[in-house]
Amino acid sequence: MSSPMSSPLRALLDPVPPLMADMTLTAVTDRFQSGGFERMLSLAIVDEDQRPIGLMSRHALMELLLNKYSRDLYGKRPIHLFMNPMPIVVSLAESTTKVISTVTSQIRTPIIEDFVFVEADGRYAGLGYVADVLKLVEQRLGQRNHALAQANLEIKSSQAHLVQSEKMAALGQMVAGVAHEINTPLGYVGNNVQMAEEMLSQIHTLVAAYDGLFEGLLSEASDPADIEQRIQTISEIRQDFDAVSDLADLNELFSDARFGLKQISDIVLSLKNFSRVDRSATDEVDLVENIETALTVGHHHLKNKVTIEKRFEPIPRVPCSPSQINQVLLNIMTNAAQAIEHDQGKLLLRTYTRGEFVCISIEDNGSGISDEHVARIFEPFYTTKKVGEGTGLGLSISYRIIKDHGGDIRLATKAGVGTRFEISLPMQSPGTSLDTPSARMPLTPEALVTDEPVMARSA
Amino acid sequence: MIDPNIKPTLLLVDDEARITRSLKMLFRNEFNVLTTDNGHEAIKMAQTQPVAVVISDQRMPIMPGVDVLRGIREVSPHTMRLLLTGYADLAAVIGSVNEGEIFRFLQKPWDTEQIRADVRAAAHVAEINFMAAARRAQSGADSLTAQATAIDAPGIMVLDRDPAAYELVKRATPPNNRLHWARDMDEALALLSTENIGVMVTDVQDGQASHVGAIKALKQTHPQLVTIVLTQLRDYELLVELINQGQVFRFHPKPGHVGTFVKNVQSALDYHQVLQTQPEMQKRHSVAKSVKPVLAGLSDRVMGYFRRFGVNN
Repeated sequence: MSSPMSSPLRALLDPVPPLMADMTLTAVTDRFQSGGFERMLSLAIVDEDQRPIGLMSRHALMELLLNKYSRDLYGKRPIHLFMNPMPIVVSLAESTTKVISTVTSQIRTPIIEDFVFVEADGRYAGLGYVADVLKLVEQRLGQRNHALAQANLEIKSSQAHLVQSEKMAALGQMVAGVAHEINTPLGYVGNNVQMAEEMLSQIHTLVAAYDGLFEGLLSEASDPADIEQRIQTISEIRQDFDAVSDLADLNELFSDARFGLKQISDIVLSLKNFSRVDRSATDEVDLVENIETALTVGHHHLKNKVTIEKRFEPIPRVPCSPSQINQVLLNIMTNAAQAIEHDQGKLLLRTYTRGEFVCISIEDNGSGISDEHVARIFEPFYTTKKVGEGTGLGLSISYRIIKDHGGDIRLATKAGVGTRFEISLPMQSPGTSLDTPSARMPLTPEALVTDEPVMARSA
Repeated sequence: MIDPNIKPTLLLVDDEARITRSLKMLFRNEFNVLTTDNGHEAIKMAQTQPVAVVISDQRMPIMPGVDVLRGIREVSPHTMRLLLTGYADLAAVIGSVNEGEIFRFLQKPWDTEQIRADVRAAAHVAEINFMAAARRAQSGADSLTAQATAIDAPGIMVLDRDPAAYELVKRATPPNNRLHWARDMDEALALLSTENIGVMVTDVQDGQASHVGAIKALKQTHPQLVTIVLTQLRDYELLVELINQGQVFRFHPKPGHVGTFVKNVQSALDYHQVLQTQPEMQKRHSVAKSVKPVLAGLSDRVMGYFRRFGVNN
């Protein structure tokens, strides 16, 4: 009896004295009226072995007594003739969860009865109130709700963390690439400046020597031997420094240096554009600019792999968050470059409008994507790349971004021929029209239905 | 063959014409400068004329730099090879050592004075090597194998506390070569002064202590010692430092593949033999003066040790 004693069910138990099966209806009525039973809707009836055999509810009793003369007619009859012989009976040995489920599943409305508690051996222990059980249920639901809310919070924060680390990984890769892009011009600009400096110092020496000669020639006091010495010095300097042709080279040094600086500043500018904090998601954006920015930033991934062809039809500005769209474009372009395993890589970029949508199409002549992969391509963590090469989050985040813009990403692919991704964005921001594009578009990614096949290799 | 009266040839390989133009202008007074953006063409150039020094970019569309340098090593082994790259690509560093056996690993943007010094040093080594090769060709009697038998089979020394490393080297050591195990630097120095050691296999660090300074210092006292670095460290900067200042012969990842390691040890022994029979080749291993002071104390210790034994002048 020690473990059931500690059961939380004891808190629900009210050890009300039971009725005996042969008590008369009148005696039971008197018992109900004798006071002390106000909380109870019913009283239990037990046999000689203290086992519950039924329940007499106040409600049933009153129904009975509402009939005229019923007290006179039935008053002497034993109560077991009037009781509910199928009450809800639960054991104190059972788990709270089991008891809750038994009570709540058998409960009938309106609630006119309590339920019976028995000890582990089946003997009557007392009554339990349905209201208490409901309170317990509510309490438990509250706890579970809290736990769920907590779990939800944790999932959300780890999801945000994952998205952040994907962003950081992409950023790290981009930074390494951009560092390379900048190091090359930095290399020749620095070298050219250094050489120009050296040349300038040679020019300085030469001009000083010429100056000396000039002074000597003008001076009446000068000695011809001195003049000759000066001329000798100049011709020595001229031997390893050809002022005319070297000065012409200086021009080239500077023009290359200027080109390099321009290239560096272009890269820095595109980085700034790429990561710019968007003023608002409703900025009207020229997507062609985004494509150019993504191309500059992704240059080092693309330049040795693909030739880029652009076919831009005029498109209106669209409301969107440009830095997010940049992220999507860079992601799809670098994926495309990675899918190309031959040396005739091509990337065809197109813009066009279709209905209320502006579309960007990115088409490669890479290896294509097999059907099993297409079905899962936008799933988080789904990747076919080697460990460490991709997190499998890139496309799922891209998909989310475009969906959040009320647009869609679809694809058409053919093994060994290539893949075409199409990003569509609504011309009107999704909030302004009732018939939102996301409502019209299928929620799951589906193959791009197009009469234009993906481009054929070397076409 | 290089005529000392004419300028040595410097070959520049880069897909960015402004890089080759800039470097060409820097070196045209001292060198006959050739430029190309095509690795195949570069290899052909080195095959058809004596090229003293080649500087190649790593990332190029037609052929990556490591492949260019490997190709040139095959057709013209005496051409000194330098890789010039702006991208921190660990695979390229490792490849340039293991496949390209490069003289220097240079990074963009470069220091003008440093690149001048490196290219001059490379050209100097190339000149000696080309002349020695020419002499050997003239005398004709030169036979590597004949000389080789006269030399005792050199020993291999493991400098690593890790028994797994010792086991790996043991499996790769040919039966005629003795294997020595030094647990720390002092044991290594003692072994080097008493034993004939041709190849050293070492990790770059021993617990907290770094062997980098010692590897660099040993290359100066023992130019014939061929170093294989066996490590799990993947540090780009450190590897570059070890190439440029330690002239490390091979990088091998830990734990690593036994088959490749056996090959690495064999190449190292072969190379040691070349260094013995063609002492001018040691110049290839002339190491760059390090810009930052390299553990001055340790270097002194190494030098002092050998002076005591009268090994080093």
